[in-house]
Parts: sequence; C-alpha cells; structure tokens
Amino acid sequence: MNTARLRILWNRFIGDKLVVLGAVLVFFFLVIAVFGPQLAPYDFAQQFRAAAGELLPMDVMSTTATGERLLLGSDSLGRDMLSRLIYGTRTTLVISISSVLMATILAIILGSLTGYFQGSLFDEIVMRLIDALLTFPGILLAVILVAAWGTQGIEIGPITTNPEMTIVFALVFTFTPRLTRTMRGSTIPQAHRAYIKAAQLMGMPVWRIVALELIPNCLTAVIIQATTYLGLAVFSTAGLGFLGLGPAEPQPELGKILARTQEYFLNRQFWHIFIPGFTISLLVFAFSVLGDGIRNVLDPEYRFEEAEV
Amino acid sequence: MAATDGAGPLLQVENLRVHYGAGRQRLNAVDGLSLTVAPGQTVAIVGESGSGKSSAAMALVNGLAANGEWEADRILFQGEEISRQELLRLRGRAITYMMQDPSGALNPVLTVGEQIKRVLKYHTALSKAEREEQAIELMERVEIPDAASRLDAFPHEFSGGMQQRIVLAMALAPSPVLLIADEPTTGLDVTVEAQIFTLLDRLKREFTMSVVLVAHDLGVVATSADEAVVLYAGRVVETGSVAALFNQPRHPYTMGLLRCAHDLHDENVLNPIPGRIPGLGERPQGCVFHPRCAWKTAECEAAVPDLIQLHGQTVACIHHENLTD
Repeated sequence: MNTARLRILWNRFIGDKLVVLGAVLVFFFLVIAVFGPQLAPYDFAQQFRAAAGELLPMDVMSTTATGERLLLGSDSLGRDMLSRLIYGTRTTLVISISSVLMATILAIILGSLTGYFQGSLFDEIVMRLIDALLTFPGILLAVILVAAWGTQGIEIGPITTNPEMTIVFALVFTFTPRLTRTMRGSTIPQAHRAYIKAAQLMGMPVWRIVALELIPNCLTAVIIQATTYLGLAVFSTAGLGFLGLGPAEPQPELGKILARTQEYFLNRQFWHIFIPGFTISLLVFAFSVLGDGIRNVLDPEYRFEEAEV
Repeated sequence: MAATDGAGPLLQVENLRVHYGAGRQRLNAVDGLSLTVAPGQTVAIVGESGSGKSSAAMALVNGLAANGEWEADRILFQGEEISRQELLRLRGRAITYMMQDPSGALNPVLTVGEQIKRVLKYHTALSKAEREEQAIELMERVEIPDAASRLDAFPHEFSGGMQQRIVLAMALAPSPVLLIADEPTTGLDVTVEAQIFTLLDRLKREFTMSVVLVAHDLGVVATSADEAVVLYAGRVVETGSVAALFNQPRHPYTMGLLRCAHDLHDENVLNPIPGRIPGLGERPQGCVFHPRCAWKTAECEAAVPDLIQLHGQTVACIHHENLTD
C-alpha cells in the first residue's frame, strides 16, 4: 500500500474529532488494563477497616482505621474502589476483547468455508446451527450459557479453563453467528470471481485458495462488524457481571462492582453507583466511536464530505 | 512411431464429451471432440458462442461448473495413455490455463509479484530469493516494462493488455508443455490483441510448448494457429490445418464462417449465416447444422454424419464433394 493511500485513510480517520476522542480513550483504558497491577494502589481483595465512627462503604478520600488513603473510597466490604476499578477494567477488557477476537476468527473460518462450499452439506449444517443460535436474543444466550456452565471454569477433558473463559465462550457463542453470516455473505460473491477459478485451475489446494486468495478479499465487512461488537462486548460482559454471572469473588469486574453499589443506592453513598457506571459508559462510548472511525476507514461506501460537517 | 521419441503428439484426446445436468435433463455441450496437439503446435478450437469450445477447454483442466461432467474414450499424454486423475495431476504444472478476462483472473488485493511468486512457490522448488528473481524474469519475458519495480504493483494499476501479460506470466511460471488459452484477448483492443498474439507465438517457441487456443475470431486463428477444429453446437464439423481450412473449406458451416468475414474489397456486403445456433436443449436430429444449411437434403435430417477423412482435413458433411461456394 502506498503512502498517498495511507494518508487518505489516515485523514478519513482523524477527520472525525469524535473518533479521535474514542481512540484516545481506548488507548487510555488499554494502558490501565495493561499496567493495572503497577497502577493500582492496593490489592483488589484487601479489606480495610473504616476509621472510628465511619461506616462502610467508605467515602471518597477517606482514611482507613490503619491510615491508608482511599482515593475513591471503598465498597461495602472495605475494599479499595480505585484498585477494584482498575483491576475490573482489566478483567472486562480482557473478556470482551478476547471474546470478539475469538468470535471473529471463528466467523472468518466458518464464513469463508460455508461461502466457498455454498450449498454443500457442510454449509447446510453450519448455517442451520447458526440459525438455531440466532433464535436467542443477544445477551440472553450468554446468560443461559453462563448459567448452565457455571462460573467455576469448564472442564474440557483434562483441562479446566479459568473461570473468565466461561464468559468468553458464552460471548463467543453470542457473537459468532452474526459475524459468520456477514463473512459468508461477503465470501459468496468473491468465491464466484474469476481469480478463484484461476487459482483452482492452477492446481492450488482448497485450503490455500480459501486462506490465501479468498479470505483477504472478504474481510472488510466482518472487521467493521467486529469493531462495532467491541462496545457491545464490554456492555455484555458488564451486564453478565451485574446479573451475578461474572467472574467469582474476589475477582473484580466492572459489572460486578456496579451491582454491589446497588446495596447502598438508598444510603448517603448513593453516588457510588456513578463510579463504575461512568467507567462502563465511557468504555462502551470509546469503543463505539472507535468502531465508527474504523468503519470510516474501511467502508468503500463511506463519503468523506459527511465527516467534515 | 515410438511413443517416447518426442515426435508423437503431445496430447491426444479421443471422443471428448461434456454434458451438463439441468434438473432431470442431461444436456450435451460437447459431443465427440477429438483433439491432437503436436509438440510446438498451436491448435485452435473455433466456434461461435454456445458451440462448446470453452466447455471442451475447461474439461481438459477439470474446471467445469459444478453441474458439468466430462469423459473421453482415451487420453494420451506424450504417447502414454493416462487416466482422468493423472490428467488432473498435470494441471497447473505441465498444463496451464489462461483465463479470458484478465482483470477478473487476478486477485485484486495481492500485488502481481506476489501472485506470480505464489505459482512458483507451489509448483517449483525454488528458494524465496530465486522466486523473486524468477518472477522478475517472467515479467520481463512477457514484456512488461520496468518489471522489477512493477512487482509490487496491484492488478488495478495495470492496463488490460498488461494484466493479460501478467496472467500469461503466471501461466508460464511452471514452464508448462501445454498452454490452454481461452480467448485470451477478449475485451482488449485490436492493437493490443495483435501484441499479445505475437508475444504468445514467440514465448511458445522459447518455452517449447504447445498451445490450445480457444477462439471465435477467424483472423486470430489464421495468424496464430497451425491446426484448427471447427465446433458447431457441440459437434466437430471440420478439422484440418489452418491453411487447408481457409483455402478450401469443406463444410458448409466453415464456408459460411469465412464468408462472414468482412471483405475489404467488397464494401458493404456482409454475408451472415441465416438463423442462429441451437441452444443446448434444442439440438436437431441428424446433422446439427442442417436447419441453417443451404445444401440440406432429407438424408441430413436422418443421421449424424461421420467425420470423413480427406487429405489433411476431416469433414462431417455427406455432401462435401458437391458443395460449391
């Protein structure tokens, strides 16, 4: 790809100030997630005792009985809110990014194969299974799956996955069907193009044709959809956590932190709810806006003038 | 003649039949084509649209559509009888295929260098550096100017003629002994067409390979083929050397085709063959050409004419002796 073309794409990306804001926010959250253990002032499971005369949860900037300063106060078990938020962001991000990544890879493989072998028995079986999964509305499927598998990790033969993987798998099941359909849809017209026939006539094996000739031509739509799913994945992860289907205690997760703040919603500390609430909103917002930016860059039907306004 | 001395035909296909399944029907696209390609020769398969010429070419590389099937009584490659599976194994290596539409035949997201190198990677034992070198050499041999710097260009950065040269370079990459070119100049303008055929002719000698040329354009056939097989509605109507076919056509269809060619000395007169080629499901009884033939008799409708051997020519017409132009 030449530099002139890259510059056009870059201009498209930074043409929208909101997109730049989203990118900066996502970067900020990624830094928090990666350097969480270095950034967090305390361990996420450490319980502090409130100073004499104070109640749990502790307020912002309060000092514990043992003299520690808690910048964002504590939760109802006396654990430092800031540290839990940092570790929680880490958990939520790891779960949502890895689930979208796995779902996208799975969708690219399934979608390109079903598209290439359109009308075959393999195509029929995979697509009917996907239709079946699509009958469950969005997050409900993830709720059912996590509830069925439990949050203790799944035993696959000799391996027991770590508890977070349960949620990742549930989300992968939720996202893959739609992504696969998108991928299959963009594969079918490409699979009938002459260059695929040319590759077949060159005697290339099927896996090479699909992996090296076909897939690179069919990725745009599925990548655009996957980036818009990142925001949804954060939302779903937090949603599961909120419903009590997140990682087991004491592991923090944004949705779980939010759920706990409900306990004192009617108390003096009702505003506690805004701390994880705002974090989740900001994260979803950042991903959605960044998704828009990536679509602007990749979508061939995007019109530059619109972004200028 | 000993089969191994190299003087025998390179590829010989006897009684090739191609049929397509359409619902419960079985439609014959090619009905009994025999083809003999001598080393270094260009054999043209000539016919109008729907004559089955592309189906015949596709069958040889097993590239028929999913509902298409083919069989042949005998396939001989370099003098040895081979099965269809063995023929399939030659595809891409000893026998390469050049597609009609060059802009479609190239992968739009890969650089042309990458595409040529891929063929080399799959069909030769060259190292990465050697493949790079070989790709540049191939591009030079198909006369792409400034080949080394054009290696990293994408197909859309080339003109149609240049794209077809790249397709040709890819087809030549495994050093085939037989190149099947399916109307290689469709959609290119006449000057580019002439360049491509001159190039093809030269490369044929340089690579010591034979060419099966699928064509509908008699001008192209006249200039670049040695032998020709004239197909009409899936049947061979006449075969022979190009010189014989053009000087003394024996079949009414071949005569008609030649009369269609515009005569520069005789302005404003075009002599089309009346009627149109029958579709796959509506092939007539007897000689397939009889509904459009000026010499038809009751016999023509009764039986399919056999190919009659004349000196240097075969013709499928019972009246071939009595035809006058």
